[in-house]
Amino acid sequence: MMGMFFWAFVVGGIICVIGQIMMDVFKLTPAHTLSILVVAGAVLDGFGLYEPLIDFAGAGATIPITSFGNALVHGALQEGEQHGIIGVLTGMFEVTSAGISAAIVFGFIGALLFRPKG
Amino acid sequence: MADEKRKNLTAVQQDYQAFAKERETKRPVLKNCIRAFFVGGLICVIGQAVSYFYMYFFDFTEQTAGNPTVATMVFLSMILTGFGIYDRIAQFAGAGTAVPVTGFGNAVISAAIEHRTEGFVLGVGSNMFKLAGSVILFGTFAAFVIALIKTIAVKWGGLG
Amino acid sequence: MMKKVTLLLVCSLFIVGCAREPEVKDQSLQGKNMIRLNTDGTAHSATMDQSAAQQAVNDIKQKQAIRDAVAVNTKNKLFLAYQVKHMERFHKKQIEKEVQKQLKERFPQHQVVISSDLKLFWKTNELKKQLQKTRMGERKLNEEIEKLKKLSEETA
Repeated sequence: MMGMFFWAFVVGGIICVIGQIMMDVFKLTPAHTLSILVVAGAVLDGFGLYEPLIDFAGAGATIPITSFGNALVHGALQEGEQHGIIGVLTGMFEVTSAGISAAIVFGFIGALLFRPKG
Repeated sequence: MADEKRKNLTAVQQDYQAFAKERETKRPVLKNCIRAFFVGGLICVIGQAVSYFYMYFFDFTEQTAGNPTVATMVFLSMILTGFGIYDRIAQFAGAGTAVPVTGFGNAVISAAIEHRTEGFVLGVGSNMFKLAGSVILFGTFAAFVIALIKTIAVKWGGLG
Repeated sequence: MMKKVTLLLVCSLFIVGCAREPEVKDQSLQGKNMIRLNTDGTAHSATMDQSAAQQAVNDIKQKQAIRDAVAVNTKNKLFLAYQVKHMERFHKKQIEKEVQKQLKERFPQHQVVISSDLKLFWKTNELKKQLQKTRMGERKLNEEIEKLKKLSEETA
């Protein structure tokens, strides 16, 4: 279990460093950086490489935004296996819903609770 | 591309660009990376702890604990964003706070809070995904293309 | 500011309170089962023979990539949960296949279900301890194994 925490820290940290390098060295905006990372996660899952990373690093791989792309592909592939091409379209948000719905719900609650600063 | 652009400029403009480049504050890349590493790593460790919490006290497995963990992290990021703490950490950590899902949550939530004065429908509703929209768009589209290719390859190409 | 904080606290209390509900129910259910077991379980059941499980654990623990394993079995079912060494977690899928194949060959008369999930490992351990403490009928144990199997098949 301690190993899990250690590798979650290292892998999560490395993914963040990749993001930082994209922002600092290649001078991309945060929106560009995050979009590229999400696409990278999707591509990695397409090659079946992201799942082993999650097995290895746990939250170190599921918490960074790359996992969003991974989950999208995963849901789409799962449904695609059962229902063919239409399944690819309908299954996409099957697995991912948590992050987005949480962001929507908590975003709205946040807007109700808090006032803009400055 | 940048080089081509430079060729079309006059000599004065070229001089100015060189001058501007010289004066540009150098980004402390190494320092930023170290900060991003530690803060980002720490957020992931917190996430790991949360998912162990769900596994230990509820019937979630390693596989299924991911979703409630992500939701919890977004909830935490809402509280920190609301009190203005997240932005302060973000100034220090850069990508370390932007890349984890908490950064995604922060982008949505801070946009929602910021535009609240314009009303809930026109303000909050339509501005919420101003920053996060591109992430969802490109993520979804890339996922669609990749999953489509793979599904077709498996079904008709006999791959996999 | 204070108002907000209290509102937030109330909100989170609600969420936490509601989230715990199924678990509470679960616990009380478990309690009932325990009582039932203790009163009439002894009448028509002897302790299950766990030698197949023991054998499976011994076999699997021999493998290099496996750190720990625990198993339970009934007459025709065998559930084994194992933990992979951390550096081998990259190959978790492949190891799973190997373990499944090995156990299937070793116990052809059992329906073999395996899992490398930590939660399943905890649960199986619990079940095993419970087996040692209280007597459990074949039927009940089959049900428990079925529950474990269902949990191990859940995705996302």
